[in-house]
Amino acid sequence: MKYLFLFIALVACRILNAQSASEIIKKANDKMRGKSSQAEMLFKTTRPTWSREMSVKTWSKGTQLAMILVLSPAKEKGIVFLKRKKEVWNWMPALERSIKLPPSMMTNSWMGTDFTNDDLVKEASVVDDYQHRLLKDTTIGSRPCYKIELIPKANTAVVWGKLHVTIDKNDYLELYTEFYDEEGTLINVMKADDIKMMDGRLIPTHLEMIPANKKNHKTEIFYKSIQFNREIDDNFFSIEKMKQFN
Amino acid sequence: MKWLCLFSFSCLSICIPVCGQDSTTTSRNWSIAGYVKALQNIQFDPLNHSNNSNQLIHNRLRFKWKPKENLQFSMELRNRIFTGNSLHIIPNYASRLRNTSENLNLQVAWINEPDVIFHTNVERFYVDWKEKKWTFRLGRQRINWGINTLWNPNDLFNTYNFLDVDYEERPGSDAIKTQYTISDFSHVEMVYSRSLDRKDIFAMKYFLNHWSYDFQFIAGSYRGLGTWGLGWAGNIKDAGFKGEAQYFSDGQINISSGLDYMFPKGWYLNTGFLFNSEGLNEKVLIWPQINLNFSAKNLMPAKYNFLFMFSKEINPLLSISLSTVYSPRLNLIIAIPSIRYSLSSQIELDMIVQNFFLDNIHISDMGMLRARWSF
Repeated sequence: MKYLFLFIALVACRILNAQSASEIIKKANDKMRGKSSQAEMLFKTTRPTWSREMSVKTWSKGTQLAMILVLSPAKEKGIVFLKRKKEVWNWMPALERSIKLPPSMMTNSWMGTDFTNDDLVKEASVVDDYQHRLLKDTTIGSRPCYKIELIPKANTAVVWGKLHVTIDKNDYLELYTEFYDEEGTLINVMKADDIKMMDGRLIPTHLEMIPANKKNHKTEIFYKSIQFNREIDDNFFSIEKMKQFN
Repeated sequence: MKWLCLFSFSCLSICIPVCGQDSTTTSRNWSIAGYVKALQNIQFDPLNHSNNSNQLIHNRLRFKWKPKENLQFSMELRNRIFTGNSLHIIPNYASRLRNTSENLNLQVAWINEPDVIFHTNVERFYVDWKEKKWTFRLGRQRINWGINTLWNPNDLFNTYNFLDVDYEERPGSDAIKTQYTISDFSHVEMVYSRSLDRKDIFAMKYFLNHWSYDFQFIAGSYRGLGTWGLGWAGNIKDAGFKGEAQYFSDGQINISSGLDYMFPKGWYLNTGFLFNSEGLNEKVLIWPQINLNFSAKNLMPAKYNFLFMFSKEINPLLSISLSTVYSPRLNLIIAIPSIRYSLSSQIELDMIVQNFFLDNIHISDMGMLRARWSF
């Protein structure tokens, strides 16, 4: 009887633990994403002998709708990416046409950066497409943090085999993430810092995606501005709108 | 015409210092952008052991003015300076620079000498006006109805020419375009255009998105012939699956379809075919029988055509690609290897070679080295 009680207690504890890990992930996700967001940001891709910069404007609504407009450099200015549910289109202003992108493109690098298309338009939902488990607590700088393991659920089209996400306990900021492939090899590390108040929220405004085992390779994102929860109509995320930026 | 050119060059000189920092927005409702390309082109003729070398300075300027949220004016100029052997070999070279899809004459050859030609064309000149669900575009414009990757039977107005690698924008059409938006992902487009030889194209397109596929249906009149078409773009598993078919009332049908897939680490593969019911289906004796003047009715000179294309991004600065077109009965092979290197965020270098083989005979090679500065 005693063992049965212990077993039930352990199971209950695991369930509670799982719930709380999922809640933490949801809170951190909501913090950076909101119901909708619009941001202007700068990408800086660095390699041992060169670096390139690209500035973009992004809009997102929930996990289903996203749009990215390239503002610079001049050659790419006006290129637009639109994601609607599982479909992605690319507007090429020089050709004056939209091109529907194959899903296989989602796992590849986005415009030469260390981010994948999937990272940018968030095809996969860290909340819904993964199972969450709390690992040992840790600290980043002076901030106490949760460390959570994310394993993709069966039958979800997810790029990664496993994620280790470190989230600040007080402000629910995702400060450090390790991306592993299906073989369990560490592929990328993402660091977040320069925590500032933007649009009434405390958020990290500088992200670094650093490929593992590649010395002096990284892509940084600098948030110039971000607005949360402004009304964006669903029909903003349309092929028609893509054309109108140019 | 002269004022256009003066205007464009004075804008260019103003624009250059402005553009150093950000991509050329001069004020809130104005924008100026463009590029300058320097191109060296060498053509080898293995049969006659002769070479042909040409140089081109190619500038494009784009002006946009948006005085109101629903009103925009656009103009694009293409300025080119030609030098090289072809000017001596091809008679009346400057007269061949006129785009046949354009009805109005908005081009001028400022210099037309045996050694050099300086030519300007107004490539785009249109006004956009939007009123609730209606949009109107009047003037010289590109109407791109392609939905497939390489061959576009549905593209009735400005056929894509994969051999003319220095002209991705393609010529404009002097046209009136009206669009009615039915919903976020469905609309009807109606276009009327008139070309240089006073032949009209009038067509309607109905576009919709359903079952995660884009579909389009086309009906109209193409230079005196009735025409009907359909196109689609969707996916089979993780691969893109796209296609187009266009039928003309003289009995000709063009059908094209293909698959594209992006493998990990930047490998991209694209394969497809084109069936042109009026294309050549037997061996030809001489190369000039092959008509490479592409149009909506002549997307390839052969009846059966296959495409195999792969590209690889070696790093964000360097990418390579190889496109091969094979027409079996004609036994025509066009192989196009290319390398692209980004020298800086504004300057890009391209090296492109076009090899032509007909019935196992090496007919011609075209090599091109190009530098492009975008502003």
